[in-house]
Amino acid sequence: MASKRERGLHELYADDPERADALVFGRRTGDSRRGFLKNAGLAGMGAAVGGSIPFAAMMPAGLVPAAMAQPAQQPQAGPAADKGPKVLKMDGKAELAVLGDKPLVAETPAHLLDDDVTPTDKFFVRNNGLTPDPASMPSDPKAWKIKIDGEVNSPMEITLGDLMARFPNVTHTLMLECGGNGRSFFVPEARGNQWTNGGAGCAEWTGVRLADVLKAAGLKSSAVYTGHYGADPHLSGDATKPSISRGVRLEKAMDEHTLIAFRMNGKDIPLIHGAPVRLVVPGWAGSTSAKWLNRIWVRDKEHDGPGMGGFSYRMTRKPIVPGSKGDEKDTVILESMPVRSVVTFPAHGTRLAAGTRKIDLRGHAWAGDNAVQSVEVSIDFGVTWKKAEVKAPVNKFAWQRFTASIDLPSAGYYEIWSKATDTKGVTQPFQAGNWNPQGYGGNPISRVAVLVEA
Amino acid sequence: MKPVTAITVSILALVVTLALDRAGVLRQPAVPVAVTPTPAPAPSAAAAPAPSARGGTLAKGAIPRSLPPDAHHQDTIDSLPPGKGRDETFYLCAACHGTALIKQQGLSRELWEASFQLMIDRHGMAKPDDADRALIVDYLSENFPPRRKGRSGDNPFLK
Repeated sequence: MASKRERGLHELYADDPERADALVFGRRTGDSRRGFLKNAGLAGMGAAVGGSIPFAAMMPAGLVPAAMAQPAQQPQAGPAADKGPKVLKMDGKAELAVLGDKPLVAETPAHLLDDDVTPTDKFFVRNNGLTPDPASMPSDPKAWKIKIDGEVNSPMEITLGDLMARFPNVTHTLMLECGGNGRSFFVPEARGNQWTNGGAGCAEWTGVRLADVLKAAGLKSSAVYTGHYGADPHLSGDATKPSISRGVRLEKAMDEHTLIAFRMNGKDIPLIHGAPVRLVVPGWAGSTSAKWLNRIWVRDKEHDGPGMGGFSYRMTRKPIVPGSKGDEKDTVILESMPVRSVVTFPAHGTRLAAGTRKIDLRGHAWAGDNAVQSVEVSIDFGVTWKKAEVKAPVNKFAWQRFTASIDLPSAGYYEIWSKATDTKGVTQPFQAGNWNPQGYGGNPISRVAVLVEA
Repeated sequence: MKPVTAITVSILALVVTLALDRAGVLRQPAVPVAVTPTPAPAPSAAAAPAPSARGGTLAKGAIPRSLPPDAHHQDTIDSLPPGKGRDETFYLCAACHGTALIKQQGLSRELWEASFQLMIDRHGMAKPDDADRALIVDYLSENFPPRRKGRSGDNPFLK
């Protein structure tokens, strides 16, 4: 019964949100562009979200309450797709939300991003091809080979063991984020996996600097770009096709935080995260951080492997009409990821005990190549904002903790919104903007719904 | 129902071959396929090398003996909604990726057409004949159209 009513509401909101407001809740859009709820409508919406809405007067018209727009953050078990996100059931992994099983793609619900350093089991998974069969790997991982070729004076094929012994080993806490993180916020839908904010994690990575290895190979003056290859087979099983091969400008490859990594959170990298060795290119689209790394091809031009052309990992140069086809030629490569914040406590869908009038919330914010300058939070649909405390990152390219104590004036339904601003002064928009066919750069303010019991 | 075309038959054969292959029928199973905590070696794997003889990691043991879900992933035609062109769509698309990827999308016919072309250009998908292509793009457009709309409904600059 309840689920039928919910689905009806969703459909109505999808068809015409303002009409849905009017029909279901008697909410009309006023001159201020914020809806106001009539008495009966207020009760109706309150019933739908599970409580009264103290800031109803400020709620924008046609805004689907977050409680209805997003599933509660405990993904449901059971058959795929029909009942909300499927839960990942896998050795060594937490219950992530599965977006697709082939290729395997699973995101971390926001409340599981609460640790200062993302534990390996909670780290998101984004494959482009098939996970390599462990049986196809050398029995001694130190015998794993990586080829460095192209625009270098001394092309080399180096074993992981030699790599570890020959170059300084460094450890950093680094942000990895899928290029499509936030795609689900685009309206209308953009092509690809429909990530919320969970295609991101900040783990501690140990490895050697890619820069040291490239210097040892001797970069030619013609070297401008890298091309990365991993051992994961293409989904079709065709061994002649790479699953994906992306790269970065040489400047990013030479950044001291770009690593050829062999340990994640102090332990060997698990198979699903790229064992025994992978790239970690922090702050840029995760697809540049090739897992199961076996070759770096130094190029004399922008790399042209699969995943570098068309609309893949590209933003439109000029704003285009959302939902239109766009022009591939008028695009630029997505490099640094945009500023983003997530509230990691309380969890979306939390019920707070009656009488709760205050909550200490926390979250993480990050901004690709930049740092986060400030985070603001709101519980009245963005009418007023409060500055959160923001910690400095433990090192460059690590995310930053924010905390805030907020007052909840009464019982009822609240949405906690968070908005980060980076060191360039760029802030998160209210809605995902700059629509592009494959949906990159979707970073609207984050929303978490809580209910203070009456 | 529409007669199955040659391309569909060949794709079907490929799917069956891949399915058999992934199921281990065409080769000795190298590892237990069940994703369970610390799996015991399956009796059927007795003839294969002992699990401890393969993989190996820097500290031994971090590469699991079980494969992640993509290794034994199985979709069926029923995982797509019924409609004209469903079978052709399933055999063409699910030859590579799961239907979950399809079902996540909400695209106009124009963008479905562009997605179809992306699969050919970017992933080397076999090019079906024009009739099958139209049938499949129609099926996708009808069953997975844009569902999200903004505050103001349709964009005035589209169509």
